[in-house]
Amino acid sequence: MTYKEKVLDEIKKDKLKKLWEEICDAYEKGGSDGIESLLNSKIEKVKKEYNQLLNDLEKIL
Amino acid sequence: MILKKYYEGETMLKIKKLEVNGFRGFPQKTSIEFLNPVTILYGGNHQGKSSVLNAIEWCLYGDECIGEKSGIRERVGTGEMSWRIINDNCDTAIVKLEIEGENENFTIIRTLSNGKSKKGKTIKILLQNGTEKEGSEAEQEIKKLLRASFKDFITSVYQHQETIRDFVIQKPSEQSDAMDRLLGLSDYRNILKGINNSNISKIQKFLAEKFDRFQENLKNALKIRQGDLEEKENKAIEMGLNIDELNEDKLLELAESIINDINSFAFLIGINAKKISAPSTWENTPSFIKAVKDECERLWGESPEVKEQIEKNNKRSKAIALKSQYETQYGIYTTKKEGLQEFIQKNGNEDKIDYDINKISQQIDNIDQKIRQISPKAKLIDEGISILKSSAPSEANNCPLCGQFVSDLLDHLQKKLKEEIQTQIAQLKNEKAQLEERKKTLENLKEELNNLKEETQREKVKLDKIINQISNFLQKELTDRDDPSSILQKEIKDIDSKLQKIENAIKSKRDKINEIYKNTEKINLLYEIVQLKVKLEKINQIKKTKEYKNLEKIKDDVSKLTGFVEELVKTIKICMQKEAQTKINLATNKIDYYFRKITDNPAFQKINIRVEKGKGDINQYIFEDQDGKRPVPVLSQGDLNSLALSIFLGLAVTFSDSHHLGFIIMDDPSQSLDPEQKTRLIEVINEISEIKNIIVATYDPEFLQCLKDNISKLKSIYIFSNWLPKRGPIISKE
Repeated sequence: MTYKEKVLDEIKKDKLKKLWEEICDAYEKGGSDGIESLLNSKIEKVKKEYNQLLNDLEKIL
Repeated sequence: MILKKYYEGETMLKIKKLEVNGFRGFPQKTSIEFLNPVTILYGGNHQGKSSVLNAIEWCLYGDECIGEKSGIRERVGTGEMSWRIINDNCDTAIVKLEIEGENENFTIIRTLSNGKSKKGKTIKILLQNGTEKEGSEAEQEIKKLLRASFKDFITSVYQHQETIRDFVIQKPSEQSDAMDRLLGLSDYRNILKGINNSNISKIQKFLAEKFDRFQENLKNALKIRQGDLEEKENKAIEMGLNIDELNEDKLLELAESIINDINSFAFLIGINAKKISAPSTWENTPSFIKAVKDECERLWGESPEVKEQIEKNNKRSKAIALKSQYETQYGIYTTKKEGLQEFIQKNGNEDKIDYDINKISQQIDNIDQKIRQISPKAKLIDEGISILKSSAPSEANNCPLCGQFVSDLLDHLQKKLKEEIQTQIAQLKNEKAQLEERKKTLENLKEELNNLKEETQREKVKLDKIINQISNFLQKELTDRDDPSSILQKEIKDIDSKLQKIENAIKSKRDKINEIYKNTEKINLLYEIVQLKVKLEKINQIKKTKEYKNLEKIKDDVSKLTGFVEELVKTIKICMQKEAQTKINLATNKIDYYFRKITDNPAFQKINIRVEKGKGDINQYIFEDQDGKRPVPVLSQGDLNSLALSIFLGLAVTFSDSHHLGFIIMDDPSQSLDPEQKTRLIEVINEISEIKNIIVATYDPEFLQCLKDNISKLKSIYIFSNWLPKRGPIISKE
């Protein structure tokens, strides 16, 4: 059993399984840097949107 | 990893022959055969021994043995720092590995080119039945035949130098890291590293903080606006509005009222008002107020009384200015005039001064004449006396001038005459000088008089000019008998009286216009109040907006993602610990056996390895002896080396049936071992060589000798020496 399968075995939630598969995929393609990029890209996108929404709401104040 | 049974029909694979060309330390084609159970590669550092072992590894596993995922620290790096495959003097690296099993022989050929002629990598496998596979098909076939992943390979087949070296380091965190790699857990570590390096938790915290700050701003905005509203409402009440009138309806009603007032006012003053439209909504109030103010100003300015008032005020200001100028100039002129008169009184007028100057001039002339007359007379007398003296000698006698008895009367008279003349001339000259001084003084006075006259005249001209201006202002001629100051004063008084009458007349109109202005203030205040109410409503409803809901959703999603990641990290660490413990449990007996055999230390009757959660929940390996004590801090370098080797060999033997690789590779295993330990290690190797072929690389001559003396299986010994960059090593077989 590979590391991927072993961890997948321990996970119960589907969303967590999906995240794990994404991480393994990123790792296979780009190593630990690949994982870093994956997670950062997920968060950077929403960060931008978040800041924009905050700006719009601040204007109302 | 699950222990698998050795099934009938499945054979152990052994390396038969290796051929390298252009790979790492081998610029030229070199072959090595592995025909015996034990193969020893001996030579100093940088002679190519490890390159041989790396070639086997690379041929079997290709890119898996490079980079971070290999789990081998020295293989991590990119660009210039990357682990080089191709020899510096070559364009292509080719490794060919012949492998034999009982039922299956095959050859793997792997190449890598750096691109002067061709760039890229190839992999080929030639099977016994003549089939040839390439590319991904070949990789699949290799995996199938080996039944060992790269992690299995480095855990239980190929003992890297680095494994021993890193393990010997005493720092616990690095030892644990070395153990994880030894147990094939580097993937977990790398994944945790990637997760840890990401910004996810930092950003989640940042977003949460921003959200909290926004909540605070929201609260403050409400408070401030509410405060402003109350203040303005109070002000509106003071201005006479009711609390229930503070709305848009009242605002619009007031606007209509203002328009009516403007029209009434315009009618009152007899001017047409411009049309002003009432605001359709409260938002148009500012432009309405501006239009009202502009129109009020215009009407007021056009009003006849106001115009007259302005005109009279201007006239009054002018009269005051002229009066002031006149009085000032009159003062100056009078002062000059009086000064002139005083001067004349004191020194006489111009005629008198001229007369005095002429008189003195005459006197001076007279003196000059006298001086001129004295000289010839004196000369005559002198000549006469000289003639007398020459004609008859002078006798002693009394002087007729001074009465003195002198011996030489003529001589005495001559002298006396000279003296007399000189005295007269001196006197006259003195008189003349005095007269000349007096004349100069009079001339200066005359000049002064002329200056005074000029200045007085100048001031007179200025005064006349002002009088002329006053005359124009009053529109009447002024004579010398008129007092312009009094006349102006009277004029000012008249104007003041008229202004008072005008003021009385326009008072009511002023009140009306002020009323309009007051209403515009009210309407402005109502506008601000309505504006604030609208704003407050918006702020109060902010949490119902789409934007706010999206914001909350994003925050929650990020929070969930962070939560998932944290859960995943926990799970990874649990799996890591479980796997480590499982492997160790399965191999513990062998590890213990090998360790005690190699070290032969009476202090250690048993060695146990336990996996616990260390710092950050990463694996921490606890080594305990039979008494539960921890020997690692007091182990020598040799003992630590032995422990690392024992773990490797223990895993290699325990899991030997889980794959098809029937050999073990050891690179410099004798680091830090003393002679007895080396001997005992060789005994262990000898035991293992019963079930596996062994390939050992060493630079240690003592270890070589020990191998020669104590390995009972058939051996091949290759000596590596004289490595040169363009040739590689010289390999001789012993």
